[in-house]
Amino acid sequence: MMGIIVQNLLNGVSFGIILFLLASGLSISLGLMGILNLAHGALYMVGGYVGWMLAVRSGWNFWLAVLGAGLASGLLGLVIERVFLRYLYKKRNEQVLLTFGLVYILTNLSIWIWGAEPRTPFTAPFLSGSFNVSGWQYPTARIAIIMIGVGLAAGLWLLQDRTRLGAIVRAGMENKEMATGLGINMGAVFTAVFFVASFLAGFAGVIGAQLLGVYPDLSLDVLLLALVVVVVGGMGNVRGTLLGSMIIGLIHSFGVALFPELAMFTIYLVMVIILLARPAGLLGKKV
Amino acid sequence: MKQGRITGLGWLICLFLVIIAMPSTSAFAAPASQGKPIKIGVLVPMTGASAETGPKMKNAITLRLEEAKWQVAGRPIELISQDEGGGDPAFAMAAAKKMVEMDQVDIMIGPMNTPMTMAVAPYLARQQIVTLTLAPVAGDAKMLSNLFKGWIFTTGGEGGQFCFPFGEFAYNDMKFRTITTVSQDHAAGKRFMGTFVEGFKSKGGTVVQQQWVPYGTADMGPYLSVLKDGDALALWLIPIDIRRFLKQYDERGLFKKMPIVIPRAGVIDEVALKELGDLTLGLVAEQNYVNLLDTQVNKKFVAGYKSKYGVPPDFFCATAYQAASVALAGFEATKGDATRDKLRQAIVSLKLETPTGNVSFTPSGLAILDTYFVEVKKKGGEYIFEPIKKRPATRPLGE
Repeated sequence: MMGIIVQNLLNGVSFGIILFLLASGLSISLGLMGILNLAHGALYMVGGYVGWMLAVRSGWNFWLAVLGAGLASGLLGLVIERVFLRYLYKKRNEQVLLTFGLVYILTNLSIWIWGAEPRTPFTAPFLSGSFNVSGWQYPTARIAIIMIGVGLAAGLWLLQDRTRLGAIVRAGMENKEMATGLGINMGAVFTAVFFVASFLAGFAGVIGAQLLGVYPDLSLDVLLLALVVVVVGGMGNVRGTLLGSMIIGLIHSFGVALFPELAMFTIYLVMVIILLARPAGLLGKKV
Repeated sequence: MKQGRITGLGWLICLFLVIIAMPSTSAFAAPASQGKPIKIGVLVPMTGASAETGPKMKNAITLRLEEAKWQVAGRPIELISQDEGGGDPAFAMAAAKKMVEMDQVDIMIGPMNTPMTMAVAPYLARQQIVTLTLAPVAGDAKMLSNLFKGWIFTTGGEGGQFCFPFGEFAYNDMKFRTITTVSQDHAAGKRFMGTFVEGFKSKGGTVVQQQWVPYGTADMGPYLSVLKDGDALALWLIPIDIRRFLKQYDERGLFKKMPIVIPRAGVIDEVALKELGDLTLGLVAEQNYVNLLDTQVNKKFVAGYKSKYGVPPDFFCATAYQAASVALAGFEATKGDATRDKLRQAIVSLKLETPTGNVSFTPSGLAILDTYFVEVKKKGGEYIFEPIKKRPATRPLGE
């Protein structure tokens, strides 16, 4: 029993970290820019494919592939923001329609470019083994995922709460006109924020591919999870997203291990309960 | 907004128009020969989770028709293909209706996925369209006969008819006595694993634990954490999930504890074997086709497919090629007469050797097929499924 608890603690936290990496970008663009980007899952998938192409097919260093994937998704996000989304600020319905359509377009483009064959989970060579803990083995890659996630969470939190850039973004979120009046080019700030959010999606795509692999339906599968995390944690702040991810990750792991018959909807059940108690999410404020 | 400038939304609309204007149906006209063309409709997945199989299947069908020089019994053949949709039965239904009512196909090959087949079967049976399914459907012979009414031929077989004998094989030949199972929690997963377990139990085996993984489960970790020990693990998951599972199974050192058997190995192809590498060595699986089968018909098929498409054919290609062969043989038997009932009766009484082995049908259109028990080996740097035993003429369960 002890083994099951420890293993699922690790399972839940490492899966939760992937959810955090995935959802943080979505949460940032939603909370700070008011943009509901349903194509976020597709950017994650594109990142996963680019990472696979670089690390597995071309044999690049895994971390370079992670960076390359982040940049690829970031640039794609930049194009989406510059060409489409900047006309749609404050138009929630149009954002939803546009970005949901982009999911299908990007998915099909990915099939054209990388084929529809699912890609097996891959990782850096030195992470591919496992280590021994009192009689059972646990994959090293999952521990690496936890460390990466904790580092990134700290970095994002510092960026948002402790830097001038973070202050500018928060100011723009509170009152765009006032911030513009103070001489801040909010258009450029929003573009930069969207680039960062998309970069995170691509980055998460490769980190997550260590467990999840890459396949065409990934965009919608992870979008659903990311939305659940953002809704549970509350929009627009790093701590809320981290909390939401951990809760969903742990509930998923322990739910499957202890109540397998309910596996299909444990996380949604938790989401409903949390929303009943706190409609804006655990740490969210009204957007 | 300035006039005369295309905005983002404008671009978006243009893009959608382009996409809508793209033809989703492709038709190959046959070279000149006499008579009205025979129209063969093909319904395969081009999008969604099994999007990689559709093009392969269409390739194999095209190859078979090319071998026949795009004609049968003196009539030219026209191939009309359509996406069965990425997991949405309503989409498959719309596609089937379009092919029957607008294109007026004479015979239908497909769909591939069981939910799609179940969705379109009542309609196609009512329209009396001879339909040759691809990949195994799931269900007892009685249930399928009632639903298919003799018009839908289970060319790809029925999961249970392959999995039951594999369960017997696991007990008799592999000498396993206790077994743990992990399988997808949907119609096909339940059917494949359920009948495997029935076969295993029928010989005296015991099941220690059964886990059912919902469709769309991202992390396999929790399932591995509560796995109970048996002589072997019987595993069946959709292609992406089985890759995730095997990878984590290996990383946790579980192969040393329990070997894995896979009923219906279509979910793990040679690309997957290559990506997963050495951990797959020694996997024992059941499959009603592997491309190493040592028959003339198969060697010709493999060579033809390789030279045309550059890669060896897999189980999906062979099933599609087999369905095309059945269609052609049916039209040969009626001498090109596409009258529906004549065609149906001709196919019921067919006996055919195809790359997968011998094919024939029960009076209600359920296929009697061979299957093979195979093992993953490494030869010349390539990972292959090597046949270790043939189980001829498997019949539908519950006749």
